[in-house]
Amino acid sequence: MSRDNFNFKFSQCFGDKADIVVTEADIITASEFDHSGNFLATGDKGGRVVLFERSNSKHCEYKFLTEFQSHDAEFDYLKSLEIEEKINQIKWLKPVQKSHFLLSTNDKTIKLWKIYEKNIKLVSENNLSEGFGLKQKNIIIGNDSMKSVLKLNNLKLPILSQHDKIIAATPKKIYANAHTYHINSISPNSDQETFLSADDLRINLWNYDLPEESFNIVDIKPANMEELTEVITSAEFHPQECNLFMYSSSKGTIKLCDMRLNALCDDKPIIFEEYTNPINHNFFTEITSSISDIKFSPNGRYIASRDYLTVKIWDINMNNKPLKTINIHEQLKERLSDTYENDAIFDKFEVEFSGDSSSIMTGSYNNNFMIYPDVVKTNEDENPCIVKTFDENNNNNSNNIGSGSSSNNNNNNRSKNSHSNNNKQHKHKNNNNNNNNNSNSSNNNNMFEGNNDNENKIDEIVLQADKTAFRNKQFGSLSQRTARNKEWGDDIDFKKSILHFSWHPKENSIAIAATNNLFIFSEL
Amino acid sequence: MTSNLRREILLKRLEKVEQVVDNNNTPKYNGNDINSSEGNDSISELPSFKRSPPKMKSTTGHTADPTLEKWSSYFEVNKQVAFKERNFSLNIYYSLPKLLETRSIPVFIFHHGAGSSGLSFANLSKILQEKLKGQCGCFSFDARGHGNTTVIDPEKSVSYELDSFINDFKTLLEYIYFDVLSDVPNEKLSIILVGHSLGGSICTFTFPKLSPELKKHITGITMLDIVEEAAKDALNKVDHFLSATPNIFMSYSEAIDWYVRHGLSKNRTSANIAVPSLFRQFTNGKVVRITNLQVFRPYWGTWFSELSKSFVAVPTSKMLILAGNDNLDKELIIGQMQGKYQLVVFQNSGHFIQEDEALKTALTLIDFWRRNDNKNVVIKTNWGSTK
Repeated sequence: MSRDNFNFKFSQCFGDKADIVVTEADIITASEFDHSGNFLATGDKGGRVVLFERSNSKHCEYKFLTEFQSHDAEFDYLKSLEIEEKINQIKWLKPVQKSHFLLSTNDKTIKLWKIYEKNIKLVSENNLSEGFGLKQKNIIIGNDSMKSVLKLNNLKLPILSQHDKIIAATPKKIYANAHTYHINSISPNSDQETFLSADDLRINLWNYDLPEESFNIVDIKPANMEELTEVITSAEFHPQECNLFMYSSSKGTIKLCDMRLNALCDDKPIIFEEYTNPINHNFFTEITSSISDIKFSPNGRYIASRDYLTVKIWDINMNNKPLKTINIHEQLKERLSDTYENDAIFDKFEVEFSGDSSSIMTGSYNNNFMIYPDVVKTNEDENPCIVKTFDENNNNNSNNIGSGSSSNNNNNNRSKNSHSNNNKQHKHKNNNNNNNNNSNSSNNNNMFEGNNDNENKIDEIVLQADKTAFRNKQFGSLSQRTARNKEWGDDIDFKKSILHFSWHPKENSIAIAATNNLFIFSEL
Repeated sequence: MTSNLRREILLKRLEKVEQVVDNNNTPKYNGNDINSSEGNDSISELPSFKRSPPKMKSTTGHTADPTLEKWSSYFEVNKQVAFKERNFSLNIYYSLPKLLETRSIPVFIFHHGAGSSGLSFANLSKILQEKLKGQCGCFSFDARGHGNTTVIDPEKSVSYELDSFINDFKTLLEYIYFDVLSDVPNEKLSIILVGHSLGGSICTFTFPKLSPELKKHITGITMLDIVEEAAKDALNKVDHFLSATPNIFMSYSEAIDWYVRHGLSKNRTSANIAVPSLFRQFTNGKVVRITNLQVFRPYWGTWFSELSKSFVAVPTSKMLILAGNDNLDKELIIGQMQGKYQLVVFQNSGHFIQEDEALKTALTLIDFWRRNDNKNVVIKTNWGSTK
């Protein structure tokens, strides 16, 4: 699998490119393609939603369609708290005839918006307009204007005529007052009748038609708030099974729940959690293991979870360990204390599948985002493995697979690779093979092949969503750029984080939100 | 703000960790540090872990813009008084009477209307103080659901029906009489309750519930621009008004301008102090209305029922000041014909009489006090010694 297929090129950039002063309200906080890929919605900190429409199907080009103010700031009197108007998530629903629907949410309220074309009719002629009654006899009154004498039988109804077409957006339903804590995710169900909304401690199930009621399906609030240890960080419905949904927690667990089992669904979920040897825990492990985003693959077979340092791919049928663990930015491992100081360790990165469920994308700092093409393999004989994507010299390898291998900290599990697989592996960095060779020789595990040079590497494309993207066409091949983008050195700009992005469902085009700019990269 | 809860959990963990750290061996904080330890086990302060918990937004109102009026120009004291039994901490403004040697000391206690705030009476209080040369006391406060008055326990349910307001006001009156005015000689006190709109209704219904001792010192009740039937009709049409009134402005001055331009406030001096108190400024500079009148909708029915009848029947001196529109309803007409209360009409005023015509109102109130206060009356007798 070469990454030539994934030759992402910069296509468009929306937004004010002068990055000297960024208005807070313009920072993009959500972005989502619709099911067809023809529409793109972005939400910002000022509570506005901006819609783009595909203008050219051959090239990936979008044009501005409309913008509306979705949410406003509110004051919660009882708790004396400000409620921000920042849009946390946008999710599209399936279109109905010629109108499009989307759900947008801020911390407390979810709104269902209908976007449609509206013909504006204006009065073009009425009884006082010139020439209307000209058929009748005219008596000139005064010097300038010609007025027809308005007799009773001369009066006619005003004529309306088509004036303009605009794109209008109206809030069809407002789902409010159901959440005590901040809403972090919404997810429409595949049955197109219900959707869920999740805050820090509860998940509610709504019916689109009934904004006055919602059912609580998950509640992890302890009886005594002093005993609170974990919060819900993300939730999503399964793309095909209307009874399954999953939610992730700050403790690094994913729970897959079936709504048919019980009304309150946190009783017997399937728990996806990776066992990590407690010896390797450091102070930050607890914070970095908090999952910031989870996604189902579009074909419904895999789950991708993003915690601070890695992306894990899980098979929905195997919950004891992930299929793959991808280290995103290993260079941050040494700098975790810095990230703790400047709060960057709490950043919530998203993760996205490609439309064909085979590739993954996630974001990082310095305006970098990573694409892992064809990383979701469907070979059955693949054993779980850790993938190292950066030169790792240190011994603090906190990513461990507990099962199967002997408990050796510096182990990389070798998988049984078929020959064809070996040939296709691109080795684009060196590794401390010696280290691993020595430690492995004592293993009796017959999973280890003799071929010690081959580790399971995956392809990685690292791109940068800022001004350099404009010039990148001349700057070498994709692999060169990738390698250069990974050289962060000592100064990492933590403010330039790529948290929100979306992958086109049918082609390899992506929309990336970088503070107040929207970048579109595409293969086309 | 989104990771508030998560942060709290982490902070609690940190506190526990710091206790443990003093006793045990060191867990690894920074990967590089292990080689550089001094060889002893003591841990010094790690400044990076001392994080203050995320601050909840403070409840100060309009302090950002220095050109804005401050309550201190109008009242002497502003304090929050917590009434646990009412589950509210009321925000009170007041000025105490200075001259205690006169025969009678008037104390005006104001109650604002729905959607308003205690500072609506700021200008009126100031003028009263000037005209009476500090002889009077003025008390104003933010009722529940308004201004800077806060809930003590948000978990308990909060009701906005008339009885809740009445009991709040009663508790406040008792607090004022027994605590704040304890230095003032009781026999000289002449308390006048002044209520605007909903406040008038509250004053009327509170009076019968007061203790006899307190009632003794109440000279009279004044209602500003409230007629039962007119109020009920207005409530039916309030939706249109609410939808036309924005809840968010870019700045306090924009809010004040909007109020003045739309005729809701005819007096800019009063608007400058009263309008900002209706809003809270958020960190991004936007100014958001504190009280959402839609929240009161279920309780509107309780607010004005039987008001005219009760007002006419209250066993104390009464005055009704109306603004331009002097449509009385049947009960009030009969009451007026029977001389049960004094009716005053200000032709040029808007609904907020105390703001639009503060001077006239002040003079009328002073007159009302003087006329009905029997302590001022000296009975001259023709009989007896003329020494």
